[in-house]
Amino acid sequence: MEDIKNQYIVISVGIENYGVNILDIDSIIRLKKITRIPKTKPYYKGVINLRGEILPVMSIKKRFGIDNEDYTDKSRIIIIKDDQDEKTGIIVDEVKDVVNIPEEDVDMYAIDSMDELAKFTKGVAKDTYNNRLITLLNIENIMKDDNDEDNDL
Amino acid sequence: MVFILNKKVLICDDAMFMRMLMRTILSDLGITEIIEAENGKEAVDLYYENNPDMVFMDIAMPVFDGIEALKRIIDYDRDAKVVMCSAIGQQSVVYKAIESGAKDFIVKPFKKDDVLNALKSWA
Amino acid sequence: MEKDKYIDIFIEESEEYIEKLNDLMLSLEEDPENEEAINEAFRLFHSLKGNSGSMEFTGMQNFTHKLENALDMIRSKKAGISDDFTEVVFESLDQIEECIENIRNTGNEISFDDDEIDKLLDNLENGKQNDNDENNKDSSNGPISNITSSVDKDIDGYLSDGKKLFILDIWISKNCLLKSARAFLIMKNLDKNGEIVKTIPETKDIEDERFNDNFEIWLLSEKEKDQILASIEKITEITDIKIEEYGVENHGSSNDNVNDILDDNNLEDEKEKDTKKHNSSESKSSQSKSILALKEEDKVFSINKTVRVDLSRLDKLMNLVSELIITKNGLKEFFINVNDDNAKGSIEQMEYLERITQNIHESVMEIRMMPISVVTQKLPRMVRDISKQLNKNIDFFIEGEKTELDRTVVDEIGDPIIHLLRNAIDHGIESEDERIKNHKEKKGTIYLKANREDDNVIIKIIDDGNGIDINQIRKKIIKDDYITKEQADFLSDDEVLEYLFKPSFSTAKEVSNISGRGVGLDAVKTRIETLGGSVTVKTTKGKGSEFRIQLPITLAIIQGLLVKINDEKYIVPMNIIHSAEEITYDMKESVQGRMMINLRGNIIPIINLSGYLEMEPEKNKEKNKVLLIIKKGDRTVGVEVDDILSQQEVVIKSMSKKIEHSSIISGATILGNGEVALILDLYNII
Repeated sequence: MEDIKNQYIVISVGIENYGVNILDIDSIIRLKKITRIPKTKPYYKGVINLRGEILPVMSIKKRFGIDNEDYTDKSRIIIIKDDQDEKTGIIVDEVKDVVNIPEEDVDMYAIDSMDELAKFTKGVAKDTYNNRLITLLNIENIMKDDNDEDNDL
Repeated sequence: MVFILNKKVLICDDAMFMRMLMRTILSDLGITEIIEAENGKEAVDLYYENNPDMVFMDIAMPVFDGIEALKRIIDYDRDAKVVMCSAIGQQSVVYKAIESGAKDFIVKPFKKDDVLNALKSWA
Repeated sequence: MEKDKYIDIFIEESEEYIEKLNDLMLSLEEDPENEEAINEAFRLFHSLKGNSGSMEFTGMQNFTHKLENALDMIRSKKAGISDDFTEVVFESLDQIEECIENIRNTGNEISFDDDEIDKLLDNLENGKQNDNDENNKDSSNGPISNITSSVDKDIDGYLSDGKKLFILDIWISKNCLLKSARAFLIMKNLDKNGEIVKTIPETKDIEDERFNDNFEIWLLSEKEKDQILASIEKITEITDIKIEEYGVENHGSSNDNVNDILDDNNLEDEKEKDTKKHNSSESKSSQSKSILALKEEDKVFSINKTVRVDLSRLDKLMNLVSELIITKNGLKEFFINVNDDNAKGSIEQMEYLERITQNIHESVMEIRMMPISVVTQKLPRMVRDISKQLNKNIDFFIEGEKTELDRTVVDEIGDPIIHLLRNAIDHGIESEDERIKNHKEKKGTIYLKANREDDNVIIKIIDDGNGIDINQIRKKIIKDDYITKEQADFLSDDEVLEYLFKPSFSTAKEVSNISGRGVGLDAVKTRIETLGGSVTVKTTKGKGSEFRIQLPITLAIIQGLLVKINDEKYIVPMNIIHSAEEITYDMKESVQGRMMINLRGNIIPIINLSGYLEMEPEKNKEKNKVLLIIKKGDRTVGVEVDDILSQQEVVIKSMSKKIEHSSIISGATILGNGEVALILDLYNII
């Protein structure tokens, strides 16, 4: 039985493949109407109504500093649940599949730590089965506000 | 284990806390018909309406006090079984109550047995 | 006794009593002869004593007993109320309040400081009028003596008239608390059946409780032994009666009879212990029986007028109602878009559904409503204390205490109100001397008025003091580098007053520990705005000031206007909208850089929200607009929107705290079509 903590949803952002640990994910939905919130961080696109709950939605491209956003019908929103049970949506270009990556196939140091985006990742995984490399996302850091040391509410 | 059954009891005290306490003790003893009054006037009115088998009457109450209510109840029903509930230090008021027709008295803080004995004697 | 069951109600009732006692003391300060107040205060301390005794809080029981005594002395006119008196009672009430707080937090009482109350009791004792001393000394007038004939004969002398002499040896319970009253009751009953000719010990000793648990009564009577027994055997706390007819030789049997009868009626001490053990193990099953019994009879015979509900259940109900409204809105939206004939019939059903949800909503709201008196109850005492501390002479009046608010609002509004009152006492009302110098009444007046206006509750705090010196504020604004002198001069008085509510703004010459550094007013404003309300101030120099708090009655559901701004939909709460007007482009005029409009003689500034909402500037500037007229205090502004789409009930939903937003957004809701619409807080931008 494969260990669930090693399972990742593979998404694409541009041409890159990224992995999101399945334990961080609440659900995946199609794009829906996003209500814009004025005067907030540029990577937050706004809020959506998810089964009666109002959640913030961010664009992962914008979070990474990439500006050209293009929504297709392959675009999806991944709903992330944090340890306080608060949900946030992340817009991605495509959700590809689910893979199981054993710990030994994850290289924690492959990323140049000088890279600004390094903080958003936590290693590169070798998906030997599909013959590809998947950069594993550090969801905690993605969710964290750049200005706060600590997300104290 | 003693149960007193098929009796109707009227409790009169302005403190909700006391009434609740009394109610619980009475229910534990099997009393199912319990009527509550918050002040002397209500006590008298409820006595007229319900003709309970006995009354537990607090001595100090608003509108008119326990003694006044006692007198009016006795006026209405010479055989009314009214047991006064008094606190320590109210000796003289208890005297007055006895003179006005109270059948008995129990002293706060009272125990279940005090209430039980009163019920056995008077209800 | 199981204290947990009763602790909540004990705490609640004690707090209620403490509040009432504070009020009573305040009125006794004004009118020390008020008998009704004195009696009620006595009764309340008496009840506090009784309740705490039952809960086994002996410290509190003893303490309140002392206060009961003090009130009793006043009540029986043995002494009068002095200033000292009320001061000591107030201080004692504070101790009792502290005790209840401690019980609430830890379940234990505190230890009381008796010094003041003991001193007071001593003083009252010493100041006692002497006419009562006679009663104390001469006990031959005691009730027990009254029913004992004072003839002291030789025992045979009693037997003369054919009456029998009975000698009763009576034992009462060792735990008996009011022994002489108990003896009196017994003797009174015996008295109905004959004549009491002697008591052992002496009647005086019985009255003074100088006996252990046993006394003897000699009764002269024509009745039979069992009749006499019957007259007293039912009395509680009697453990044994031995009755002998003098001169008759049948001790044995009579004693047996008596004991048999008594065993039936009384549980003796030793027996008690055994049965208690037995009882406790059985008590659980009997409790469940009696709880069932209780429930049945509650419906029919109980006269309880209220129901106690767990707060979380109420919140749950509230949430469900909110969801119901959102779903109803969705359904409504659906029907508007359906066009066939079947739908027509359903529209009627829809309207019916709407009415019902409205009613359910209102009913649930009513359950959540509480009168503002919950907050204002404590205020008179507080005002009195602070006034004394600051040496101000103030009359405080409250109007509209019955005005109701949602309980969450009530919880939050206390602090702001208290702060404004402190301000009024400290900075508003002048000292007596100053008032006299200015030909004012030497007593200052502070009013707290609450009333309902449509969907809002208005709370005003009015004082007839100095007023706020607007020019001083103007100077301070310049000094603190907020703006230039020219800009300061240009500000209207109202705009100047608003600076009072800005952080770290204070014109108080010294920092008093009462009202702080003026950080207070901005905290007040923030707190009130979080509740969806607003606060403004009006003032007249030399005459006084008025702080006006406006609060929505309810937090979670409001009436809102769905508007369109640049193709985006927003909700504007109805409670701040005065009216709406359609306007054309040519009605607008630019005056010194600001857009204005002349509406039937009123010059109203126009606010456009595109800046606040980070919108692209409009392409077609000449479009017709709708102007929402909003009043704040004495100022009126118009906020322009593209169109009003509908008016609807809006359920305010919480948004994740993660996403920061500008202060113009106060919340969000879900529209009938499932989209999220932001709720605008327009008050802040005016």
